[in-house]
Amino acid sequence: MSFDLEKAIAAWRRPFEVNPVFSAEDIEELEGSLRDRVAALRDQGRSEEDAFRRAVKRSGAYSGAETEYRKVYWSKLRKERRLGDELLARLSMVKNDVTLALRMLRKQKGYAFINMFGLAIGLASCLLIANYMYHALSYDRFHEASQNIYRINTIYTDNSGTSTKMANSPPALLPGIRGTFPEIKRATRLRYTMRALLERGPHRFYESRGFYADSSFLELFSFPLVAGDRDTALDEPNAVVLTQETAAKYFGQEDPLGKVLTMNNDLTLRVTGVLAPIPATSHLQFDFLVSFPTYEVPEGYFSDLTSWGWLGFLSYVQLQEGVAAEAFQRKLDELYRALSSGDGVPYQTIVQPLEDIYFGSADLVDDLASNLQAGNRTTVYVLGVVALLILLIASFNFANLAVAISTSRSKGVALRSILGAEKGRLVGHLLAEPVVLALLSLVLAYLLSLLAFPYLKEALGWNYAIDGRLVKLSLPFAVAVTFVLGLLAGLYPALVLSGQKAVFALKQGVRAGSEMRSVLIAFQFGISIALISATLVINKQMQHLSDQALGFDQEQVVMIKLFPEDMGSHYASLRERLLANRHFVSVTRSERTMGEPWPVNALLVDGRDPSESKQVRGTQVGYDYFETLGIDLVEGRAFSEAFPRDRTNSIILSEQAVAYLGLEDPVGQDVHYFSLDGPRTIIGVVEDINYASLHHEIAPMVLIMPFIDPEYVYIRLGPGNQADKIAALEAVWEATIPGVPLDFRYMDDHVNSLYASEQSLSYMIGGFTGLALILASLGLYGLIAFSVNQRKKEVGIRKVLGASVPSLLVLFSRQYVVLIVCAAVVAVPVIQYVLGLWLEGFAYRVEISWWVYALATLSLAVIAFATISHQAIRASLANPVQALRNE
Amino acid sequence: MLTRELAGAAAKPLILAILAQQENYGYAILQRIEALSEGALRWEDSTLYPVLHRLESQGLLTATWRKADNQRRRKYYALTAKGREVLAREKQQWLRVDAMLAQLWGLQPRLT
Repeated sequence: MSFDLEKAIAAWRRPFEVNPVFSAEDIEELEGSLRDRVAALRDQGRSEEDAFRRAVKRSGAYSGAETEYRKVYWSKLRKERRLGDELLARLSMVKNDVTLALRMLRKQKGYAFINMFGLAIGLASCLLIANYMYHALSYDRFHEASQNIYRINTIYTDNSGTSTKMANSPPALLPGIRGTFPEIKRATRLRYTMRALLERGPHRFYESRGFYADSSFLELFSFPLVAGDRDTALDEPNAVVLTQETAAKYFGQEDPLGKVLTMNNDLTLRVTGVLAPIPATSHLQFDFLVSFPTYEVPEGYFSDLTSWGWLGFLSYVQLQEGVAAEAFQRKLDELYRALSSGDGVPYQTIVQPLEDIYFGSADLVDDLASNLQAGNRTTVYVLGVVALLILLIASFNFANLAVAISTSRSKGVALRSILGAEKGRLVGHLLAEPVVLALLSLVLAYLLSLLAFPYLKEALGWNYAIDGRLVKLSLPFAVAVTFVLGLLAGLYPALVLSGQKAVFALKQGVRAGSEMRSVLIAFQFGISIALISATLVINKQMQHLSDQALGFDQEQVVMIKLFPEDMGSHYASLRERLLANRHFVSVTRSERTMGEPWPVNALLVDGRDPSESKQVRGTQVGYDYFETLGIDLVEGRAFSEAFPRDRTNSIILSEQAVAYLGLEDPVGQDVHYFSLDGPRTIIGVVEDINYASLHHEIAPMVLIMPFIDPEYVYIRLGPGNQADKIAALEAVWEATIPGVPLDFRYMDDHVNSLYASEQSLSYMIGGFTGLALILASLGLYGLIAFSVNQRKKEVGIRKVLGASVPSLLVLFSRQYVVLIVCAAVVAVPVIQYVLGLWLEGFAYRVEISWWVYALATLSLAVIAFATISHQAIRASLANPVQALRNE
Repeated sequence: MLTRELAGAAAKPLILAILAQQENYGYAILQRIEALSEGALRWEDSTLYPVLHRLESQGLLTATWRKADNQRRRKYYALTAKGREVLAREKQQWLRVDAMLAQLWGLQPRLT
């Protein structure tokens, strides 16, 4: 083949052309020089080929030129103000890398899909959990002055020295301190309306979520008002502010402002304002506010609004800018000391910051009574940890597969390096692929979380929407995390591959990263074991809690709510007809049901000093209450028709109430309950029941017979077909109270609704743990598929040499068994310690036995083995000839 | 042959001095140096050009592309005013070194 100078020069130019250090002009100059030299050598009579060789030699080696040119490169750039151009050029190189990366991904669709989807699911879970956490942590922060608002709580210490923390405070507190405490900017009292009957024409509903509120309520808090004047709406007596939803119930499309509602049959209220829906992140949830001057203490009540001992109100203060809560607290303490002045007023106050109320009120007893929401900080942190673990698993998966895939690129990389690509470009090229993949996953993750949100909201009872602010906040963070993840996943193979001896790689390929992969897999196994054990323990604990404390039997009980006047005229006949039916075992009624605020009254043993009275909650119940709700009688007897005196002069106490009063032999003793009545005789003692909910500790309780018409009817159903029983109930109902719709609910549904948030936590942790396991096995599946594929030839040879399918299975799974054992050894003590800490927070807790960890490890092993065997069996069943012939 | 260090140190005055006589292009400069040194100083292209570029970016030289007779373009370098000043300073320094060495080694000072 004859020598072609032009081709030779073109080949000589190539390494210069791909190197950004050399500009086109530099190359032209160098080429000119080379040509001149060739011409001179030709003149000396040398052949063209010889002249070219010598000229190239004289011009100097490429690598030397590269070093020299690089030295002046940046200063040249600055001189020529080409920096911008240079950056553009670099960017176009990145674009080039991205295009190449996308092409590679398309080539390896399967792995790319597993990898991208796995990471996307992990990221989506994290986004959803982050949204949940953001919601939970943003409680009450929407008020403009939220940092300066405090609730004044009370600690009440009785004669026995037992302290009770309450969210409530006395009605005289705020009027008493408003004038003398200059650090108070605004102050407002709330009194819950209990259940109120609101009425306008044909629209009449019981509303239980209302407050009497001082006029500054709407100025202190920033609940958004859509109509009316914030400053004056609650000033006058008989003014009411409704939420939009409540207004729509009574006024439909009409403008409610200035219109009139009737409350509890005799009170006329004028609508002075309409509130936008109360944000879900408010610990105060209500449907209407009545101006405080409207509130009248019921006739004959044991106390009045000048009282410092009636703990039936909520007090909020907004302190002046710059006033420290501690200073305010000290002044309050002094005030209370002065008030008690030696006669032992058993109260103390605690100032609680508004932003702490949602999470910091679990130990306050009166929260429930005032329609307050209490959150559980542990729940939020547990979920945060779960999110982190999911992210770790997803990231490890991603890194593992990315490393595995890049490793298969070693030949291509070697080839590029031989063709003169510099190390930096190789690294960039290898990094591009995982980074692009990770960023695509993030896009997919946002889509997935948007798609999943409505279903999760429905299933878990979330009462909030995706927060736009969070999306905006999280986006840069998520992009950064994903970008770094992609970089990290690409960095290891990039550095290893670009640094390897090219010839070596071309000859035998490289098995880089297998130790690192093992470590990451072991980590994943460890996390999985921890998550499975945690799920088991948390579920057991939840089960344990709900088995624990209720003290009544909510199964097979139907609960019906009635207007008191209907109750008055129809209960007797309804009960009679129901009991005549074989489907119904017993029927009773009560003023309040479980989970509702029960009224609190002073309870005093007859003959003792009034200062020894105790505040105890109680309700009014009908005959057969204990039988119907499965509450056990410990001593004495239940209310009975055989004793007419029971209707007015008997009382039943719970065991705790007996202990609270310090009674030795309770049955037959007289007590006073309500200051109105004469003494009542204790006729029985029942087991403690948790009439509030498990959020609260079991409290003392008293039960008396109804002196007004209660609203709830309970029916215990007999055995048999559920549909028949309900049909029978409907028939009896229609015959007894025609025209009134039957509004019933199963008692167990009602009770469960009290634990919705625990349920939802339990579901969430279970669900996300399941997801984490799926992710881990997905990653394992991809990785094993990959390694089996790489060892196809080996499998082929082994099979030809007579290896059996089981022996191949052992070959592939052996290392994973070792990894699982290692993971368990590390993970079990850690998770045991963490779960121990978590359980310490519960009064009733389950024991964690060793089998929990054994079960967790075993189930992980089963999942891993199933994953492995699917791939391994496929590989070992394949025809070895095919594997060997390849290549 | 000159040592690497000396060759490096001499590059700047040599190039400036050659270009002080007339503007020129890289290959011709290399030829000129080779001829002047009688073969004792031989630079590779890759050594010369970066030096030219650095001097250019320091403002001592200007460069212009000119069409050569063989239809190719050549980059001609010429001395700037600043380049002449720097050359003058270089000249003084080198002459001083020359004079010092001449004294030490007992050589006759020449009138240059």
